[in-house]
Amino acid sequence: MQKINYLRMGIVRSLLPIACLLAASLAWAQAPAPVAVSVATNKSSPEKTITSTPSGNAGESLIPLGAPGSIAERVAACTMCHGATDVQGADAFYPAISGKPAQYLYQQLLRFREGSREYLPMQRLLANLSDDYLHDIATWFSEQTPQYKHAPPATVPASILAMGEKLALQGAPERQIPACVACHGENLKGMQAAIPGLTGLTNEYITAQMGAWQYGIRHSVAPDCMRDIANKLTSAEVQAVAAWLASQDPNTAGHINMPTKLPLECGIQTISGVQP
Amino acid sequence: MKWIGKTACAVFIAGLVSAGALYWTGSRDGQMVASRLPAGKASPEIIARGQYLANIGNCAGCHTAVNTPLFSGGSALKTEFGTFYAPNITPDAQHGIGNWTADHFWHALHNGKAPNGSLLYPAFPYQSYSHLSRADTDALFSYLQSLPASSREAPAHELRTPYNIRGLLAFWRALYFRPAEGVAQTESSDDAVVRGRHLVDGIAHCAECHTPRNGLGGMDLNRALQGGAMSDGIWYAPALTADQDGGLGAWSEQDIVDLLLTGSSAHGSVVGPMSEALRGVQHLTDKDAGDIAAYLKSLPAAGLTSTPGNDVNDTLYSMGKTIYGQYCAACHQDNGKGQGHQWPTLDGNSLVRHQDPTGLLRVIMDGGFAPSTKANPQPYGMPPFRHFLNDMQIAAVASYVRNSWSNQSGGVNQRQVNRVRNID
Repeated sequence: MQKINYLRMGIVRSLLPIACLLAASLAWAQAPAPVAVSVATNKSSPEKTITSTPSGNAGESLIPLGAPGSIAERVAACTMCHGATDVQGADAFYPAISGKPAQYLYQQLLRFREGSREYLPMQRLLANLSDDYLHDIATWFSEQTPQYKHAPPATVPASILAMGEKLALQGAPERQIPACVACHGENLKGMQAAIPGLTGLTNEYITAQMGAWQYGIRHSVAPDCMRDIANKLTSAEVQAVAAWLASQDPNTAGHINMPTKLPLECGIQTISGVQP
Repeated sequence: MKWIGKTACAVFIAGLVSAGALYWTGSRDGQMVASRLPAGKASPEIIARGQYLANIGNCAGCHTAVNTPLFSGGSALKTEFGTFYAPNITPDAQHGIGNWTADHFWHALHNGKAPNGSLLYPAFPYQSYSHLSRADTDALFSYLQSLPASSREAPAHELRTPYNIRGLLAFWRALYFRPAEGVAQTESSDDAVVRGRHLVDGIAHCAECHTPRNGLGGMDLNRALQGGAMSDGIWYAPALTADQDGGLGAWSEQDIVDLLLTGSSAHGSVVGPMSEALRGVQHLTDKDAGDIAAYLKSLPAAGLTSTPGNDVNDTLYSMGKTIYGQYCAACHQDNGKGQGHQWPTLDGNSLVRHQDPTGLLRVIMDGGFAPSTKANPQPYGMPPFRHFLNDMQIAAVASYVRNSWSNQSGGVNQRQVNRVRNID
């Protein structure tokens, strides 16, 4: 991702005329005076009918706001899509982030801001925020108790669901594919410090992320264990495991698991202070 | 037919002479000023002064890439001329400026030239830095030389022809650059306005964005600080003159200080490219921020004129009122006045009222946070509505906020929204 420095862009623009400067005329061109504001004289009776919009009732606020001065109030820009306790975005691709390990969330926020996890709306949103504030935001979300809606019933045939279950619980040892639960926990609630829980995510989100790992769009610190795993999975297997994970009840009791030895080394854990 | 040849010859020679004169003009140096470093040595106070200047000028913003050593060279800066890479300015002898003297550094900042005499691209804002005093360039240099050297090699610029021919910069400079005169030896003034001007014109390089550029792309100094469009086609750096609409006419000195030090003010929060400047100016001392405010408030109104905006579509306006209640009023309030510094006022807001609604539409679509600053480390954020509202709804709510309360700025239509939606 390129760093765009606006201060310089304005200056650089001024190089444009170099090519034509040897032309005889050296007119000091004057652009029209800057127009700072416009005035409409044609506004007519604005206080007429109030039409309803496609979502929500007329005038009722749809913005989640917390107590005055709280982090919740400051991060309405986040909770509008990700929710404080359950995802509430406009489509299926917003992950639930409440209750996930703080270090995992923090690392993702850093990567979004720097563009190494590529999603332009997130990058633009975070561009001005300090490491400390991103850490505060990550910690706040990690401390929220998820209250998910129940998982939707799977829409794939039982045979595919079974394939997904087998991969998630047992992996495919003959191809060195570890089970999801080996790292993400038997309860799928993730592992400290930086391995995310996998419940409360949609089939669409999981599938998209696996595809992003496979195509190198999403990547992590070397050794990049998730990339290695994703690259070993066929698209049928991705479909199966995503469908099975998305159908698991996100509201089961349990906490993020404490660090244990992983079946393979993951750089993200190492840089988060967890020894491999 | 002989006269044709003679005329052509005369024109050719006149052209050569003109080109030569221009080249000479554009390559000239300003007056050399002797170093202020006592015996060539920098005291801890001088180095601290240099660090302060480097901070408020946000030198690292261009000269440091993500996850690389401080000042070891910047990230790619893509422009219509090609890609620029700000150089390594650590004391590394091979890849940095370890072999430079304080005179070389002065030469670069004041005259826009490298030690070997080659002309620097004005992507490096030496039009502003030329206003720095010799004592300040010495301090900056001393600070940079005090840092660890990095052997990271910054990539070479990748510019298209003819922009890659540095010599041609002389002609551009002949038109648009003169080394600043009379500032180099300026001692600290008792007058806050004079001190403020020195900061604004020099290290803070405000004019680079806030002064418009003319048809040939040079800064239009006749309209200094009267507001300028950014080359990204999205943002507009507002006027800093005393104009009521689009300028600082309604701002108090304290409002200006608030914005510079915290990123927010009673008139709105920092958004867009100014966020990068905030990485620097938030480090201003209270006195320097006050001096800047005093200088800016001393500028007269430029008499900026307004032109009528588009017609306001009544249906869109009504729809916008409803959407405002659902998505905007919780923070910006029904009266459009926002709350405190956390939720900016939309009534009278220069971004909302600007003739070109691109910046406003961008904010509605992408939301954003005011920058984290020392004074405001946990700023408030606005959600991105790009995924919640379609083009018609955004046109509606933009029409509403641009024409409610005291705002009368004209309507916005779906076509405008769709264009902004597709700007990367």
